[in-house]
Formats: sequence, structure tokens, C-alpha cells
Amino acid sequence: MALSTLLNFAAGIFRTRNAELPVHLTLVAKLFVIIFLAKFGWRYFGPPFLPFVPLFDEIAFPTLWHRGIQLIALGCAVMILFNQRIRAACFILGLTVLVGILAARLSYSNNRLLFSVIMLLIGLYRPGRGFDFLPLQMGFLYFGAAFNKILDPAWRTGLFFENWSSVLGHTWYANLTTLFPPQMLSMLVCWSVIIIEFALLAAWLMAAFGIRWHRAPLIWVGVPFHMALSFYHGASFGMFFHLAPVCYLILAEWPKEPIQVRYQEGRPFWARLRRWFERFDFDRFFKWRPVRQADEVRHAGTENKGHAEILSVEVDGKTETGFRGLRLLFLYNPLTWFVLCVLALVLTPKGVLSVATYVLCISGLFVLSRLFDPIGQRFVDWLSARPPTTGEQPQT
Amino acid sequence: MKPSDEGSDEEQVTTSGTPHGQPRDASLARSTFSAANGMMLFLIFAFQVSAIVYARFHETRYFCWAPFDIQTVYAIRAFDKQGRELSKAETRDRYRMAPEGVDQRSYQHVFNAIEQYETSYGKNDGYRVKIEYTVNGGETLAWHFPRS
Repeated sequence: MALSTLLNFAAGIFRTRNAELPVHLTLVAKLFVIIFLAKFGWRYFGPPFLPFVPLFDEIAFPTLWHRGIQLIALGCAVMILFNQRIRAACFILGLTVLVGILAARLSYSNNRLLFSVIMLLIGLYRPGRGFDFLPLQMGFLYFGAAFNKILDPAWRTGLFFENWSSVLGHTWYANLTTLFPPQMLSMLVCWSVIIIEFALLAAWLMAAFGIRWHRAPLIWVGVPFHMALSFYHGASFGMFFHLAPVCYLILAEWPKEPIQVRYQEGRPFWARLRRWFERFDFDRFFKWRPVRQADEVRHAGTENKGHAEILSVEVDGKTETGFRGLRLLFLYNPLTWFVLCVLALVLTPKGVLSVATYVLCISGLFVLSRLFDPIGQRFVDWLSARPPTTGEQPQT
Repeated sequence: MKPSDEGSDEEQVTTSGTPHGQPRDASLARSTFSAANGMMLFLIFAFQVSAIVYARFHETRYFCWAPFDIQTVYAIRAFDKQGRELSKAETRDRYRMAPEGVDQRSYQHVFNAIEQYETSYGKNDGYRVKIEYTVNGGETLAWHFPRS
């Protein structure tokens, strides 16, 4: 009984439905907190030292101060994980990190600033405001980055990338540059980065103003872009490698109505999958229903009808079938994002990207892309190939 | 009968002037919260705009979203009043930063930290500091404290 209560309490970490924030922002906040804790974020706070604001040097008990803000930050992190006063906790945690930066110049870094600002803005979120400030913030980030680069001669000429590669010891890149006129390849890379950052700026601004068509390309450019930079650097830039892809969840929207999942009865694989999914569907996002006739599933499917008899998943009136439906099951289950986040953290010990990180990121992107659909569908067909059993009864 | 059922004068005072019949105090608190919320949003974005503009006129790159845009290889050499050069460990202890390394944002950040230390905590120590640095693999330059 006590164990069951404890497990139920622990499962609260993975619950993303609450009265204060929409699902996607709760998810972003929780993933940020997990990254913060995994990276020992409380160590960012020390006694004031070379502060940006001289006032911090006047603090009478610096040790007490730094223990105090560490405690506040950890308390807020726990509150966010367990859905307690989540907006207030996000705001205070963001503010604490910002104050930590302002009190110690040497602790300044862009990834901590990003953490702080996103948490502050989640804390200031108000439903029904009509304007979304989080995409605007992401626009600011890319504007600052692109604007600074385009005005820097070292970026315009490719000198920065040439030197960075040399500092990183990428001899393969040095060999590659010999195939081009001097600094030409580096200049191409630098200008590509600048153009991508300006494009991301435009796309995030459109997201802020509610223009929807751009969202998929934005994610497909933005996330691999950050991954590529980290891959080249070989390190995680502090928390940035983990925070940046999570920021793209700002664009996600979870359906208000339950997601309808229909599968043909008597298929043992789908019955098993259903049991597992229901066990880990902490927010009850999915409503599963086995149907007697393949036609009923097919009727629900509007695309990919050749595989419609296996599975159909309906999200806000749009239906996907077969492997694409299966992929939606995973994408709309917040647990998937928790697992991916923890995996990415485990695979980057001390901020160094391991080979497994590269494999995880590249294969993850491939599985999410349409290119993987034929392979995925074959896999689903193979899983479903076992003959129907008569034991299972359809439910309504 | 309870006064509230009658719509007493007291209740009229607390609910009048609010379109949804909420108590005036709650409505006032909500609008105050809303104004504070808007003000904080304004401050967050205004601060970033100021930092981006400031970075155009100075070499520092704080709060302006310019990560990893400059590679500065530097080496700090500090000398006490008697002219003795501090060891690397002593330099690290004094400034709490690597005595040699690569700064990824702006060389000015290294100078700022040293200058702030020597003009605040260490202003009575009379230390001299020399920083040799290269920006993006260019020629080696030197920065001195005191500047004269």
C-alpha cells in the first residue's frame, strides 16, 4: 500500500496536466529542471564574486546567501517536478539563476541565461493572452547570434571557423580545406550558420505571431543545426546541447480531446502494446479501442490505407495509420521526451559527447523523419504478422 | 434571511463596478498582477535589446546572445608588489579563473574580470597584470593592468 502510494507520488514527475500551464510548457519546464539537476545546476551559485551589480558585494553573509539561493533553487525544482505552484516555482527558479549570474561575473554563460529567461517566461505565462512570448524569446536568441556574427569580419571571412577547427584539432577539416581556395570552405560554413540563424529568427517570429505553416521546417532545421554544432565541438556547451532541442517543444501542442487509438482485435502485439501504453500514460491522453472488423479501422484511416487495418490514431480529427500512427503514440506521450532527455544526459558525461550520443541523435532524427516510414511500416507489419487470437474481446 | 441573499448594501459595495460580479478586491489584485506581469515581460525584453545594442559599441558580449563567436587564447601573468610572478595555482586562486585557456565569448571578459578584481578586492595589493592573447588565431597582443 505504502509502496503503491510512493510509486503514485513518484509518477507525478511524469504528469504534465495541471491547471496552471498547458502540457507542452509543463513538459519544457520539467525537462529543464531535469537537465538543471543532472548538470548539478545548484553549483552555479557561489558567494558573490566580481558581480555585475556592485550591490552584491555588500551582502553581509555571503556563504549564507549562496546556501540560501541554492536551497531556493532546489526547492523550486522539486515543486516543478511534482506540479506544485508550477508557474511561481518556474519564475523563482529562473530569477534565482539570473541573480546567481548577476552576483558572479565569472558564472556568466549563455546556456544559464537561456535557462533563466525561459523559466522566467514560463513563470509569467498567462492563458488566453493572445501573444506567445516564448517564441519571441527564441527569436531574440537567434537575432542576437546572427546579428553579432554578420557584423564580425572574422565570421564574414571564415577566419573564425578556420581557427576554431584548428583549436579543436580537427585535422580532417584542415585536410578538407586543401581542396578549396584558402578559407573558402570556412567562409561557406560561416555564412551557412549566419543564414540558418536568420532563417530560424524569422521562423520563431512567425511562430510568435501565430503563423503556423513554418513549424515543421523550423524544427527540422533548428534541432539538427544545434546538434551539428555540438557534434563538431564534441561537447555540450554546458547545458545548451540539452536545452536547445527542448526549447523546440514550445511549438508543440497537445490535443484537448483524448487521442483515439483503434486497433484490430485479436492482434496480440497491439493488445500487449496497449497494456504497456496504458500503464505509462500518466495523463490519460490516449483512449484505446479494439474493433472487430478491419474495415472499422480502415474507415477511421484517411491516409496510408494499405496499412489501415493494423492501427489508426486520431488526433484532433486528423488520422494517421500504421507506423505513422505508432510514431504519434510515442510523440504524444510525454514519457518519451523524459526518456530521451535522460538518455541524452547519460550519454554526455561531463559534457563530452560520446559516440552513443551521435548514434542516438542521428537515429532519433531518422526515425522521426518521413524517410523512415517505409522501414517503420515493414517493422510494424512484421510485429503484427502473428495470427489473430480469439481470446480478446473488443471494448467500447 | 442572510444579508447576502438580500443583496445588502455591503455586498453591493464589494461587487459593484466589476462586470462578472467578482469582489472588487479580487479584481484589483488581478489587474495589479496583470500590470506587474506585463512590466516584467517588458523589462526582460528591454534588457536584452539594450544588451544587443550595447554590444555594438563595446567589446563585451554579455547578455546579448553571442555565444562562441570569438576564440581568444590567453595567458594571465600577475606580479606582486615586489615583482614576483604568481604561480599558475596562485593566479587561479586569486582570480578564480584558468590562468591559461580559451575564452569563447570575448577577450574583453577576461580583462574586465581582472580589472574589476584589481580595482576592488585587490586594490591595496598593488599587483601588476599582463595578459597575452590572440583573437581568432591572429597576432599575439598584450593587455596590461594598470593600463598606464
